[in-house]
Amino acid sequence: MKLMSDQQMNKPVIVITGCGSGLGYELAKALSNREDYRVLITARAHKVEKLRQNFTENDRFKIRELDILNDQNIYNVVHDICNEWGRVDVIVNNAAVCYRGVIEHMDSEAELLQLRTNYLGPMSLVRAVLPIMREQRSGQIINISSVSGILAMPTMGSYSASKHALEGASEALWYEEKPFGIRVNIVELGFVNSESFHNVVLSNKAKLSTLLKGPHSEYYLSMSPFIEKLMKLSVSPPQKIASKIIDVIEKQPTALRIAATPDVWLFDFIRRIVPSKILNYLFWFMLPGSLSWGGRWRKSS
Amino acid sequence: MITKLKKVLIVEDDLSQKQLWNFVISRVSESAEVDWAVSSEQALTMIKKNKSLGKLYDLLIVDLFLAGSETGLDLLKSEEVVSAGPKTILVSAIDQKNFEDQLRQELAHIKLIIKPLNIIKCENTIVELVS
Repeated sequence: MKLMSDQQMNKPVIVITGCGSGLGYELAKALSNREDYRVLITARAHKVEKLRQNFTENDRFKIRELDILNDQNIYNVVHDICNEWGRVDVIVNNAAVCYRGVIEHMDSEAELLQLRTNYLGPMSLVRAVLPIMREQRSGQIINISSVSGILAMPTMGSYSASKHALEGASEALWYEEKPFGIRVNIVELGFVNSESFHNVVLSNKAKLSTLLKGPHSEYYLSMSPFIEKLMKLSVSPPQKIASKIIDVIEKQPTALRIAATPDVWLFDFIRRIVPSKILNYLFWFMLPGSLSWGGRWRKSS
Repeated sequence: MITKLKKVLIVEDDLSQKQLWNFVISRVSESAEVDWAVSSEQALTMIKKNKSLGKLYDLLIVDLFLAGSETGLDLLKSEEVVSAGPKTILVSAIDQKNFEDQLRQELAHIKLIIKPLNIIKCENTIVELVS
């Protein structure tokens, strides 16, 4: 371990993934001026250069390349940071990808990439830091999830599956790590007021179906503008969510799930009070254009 | 009967269509050999393998939405298919007007069959294209 000043040694170490854009970037920006933390921000190779241009590295703020799909890379980064700073106090699993496409327009390659980015990668990072946190008898794992982690909407099925996986594992982890003083929090995001917020990828087939008005095209033509409209109406800009996450780091709440935007709270409330056999029909009738979904292939009732 | 139809590749992930296509091909050509692929990736492998054996497909029947990450459009635009230049039929459930507006220019040589399929429609399209 390298020698460091006593002043730095006592500051908690925060590791954040997916800082190349969106929430991760805002979080990095908000923490870059915080003298009371040591922060490691990470991103994939092609985004690291931009981070180096926009942030100044010093003895309490570092930038590293991290591909969450690469276990060896994860272990190397955790090993390096332990070597330099001697501990890891908080990880924020923020890196994610969001495919938009009905299940029929997804493929196993895209499904796997999404699952690896949103679930398997974050779990590898958790496994890499758990022995360190257990040794410390303290630590905090913050997994960034979504309203898609509590319910699923059309064209978001595969993304929703990956976030449900993350939520399920996080819930188990809450019980498993509690005795060791390790906090586990899921921060659930809903609609965020930012054009560049979500790293949304439209699958090949989704694009083609939209272009040629194939089966399911009505879903894209109604859901995409609807989601964009709700994002514009959202009262939660990414800066506000970044500040909420810093609040979670500072207060270390014992609750597992934390709603970061008001719509998450609302959706969760509806999901809890409305019986499940009514819930899907309720959303079906509430979603825009649902009565014309299926187009000419629709089964006449 | 179209005697010059020797080798056909059908690229379709809906296997319930297999019986219909086999029947249609047997009606238009007694000797035609039919291969089946469910994805663009699998079709390309078969095209390359047959090419290395000196065999070329006379007719490609391609669905637009396939298994795998690529679409029928990717297959039709691939170098292997463009350079071999087989007669081609695109099969899909898309809106015909949108196809004509958006893709007809770059796929001028292909025939389009809009689903749902029926034997007469498929047979007539093949005869018109190949004979």
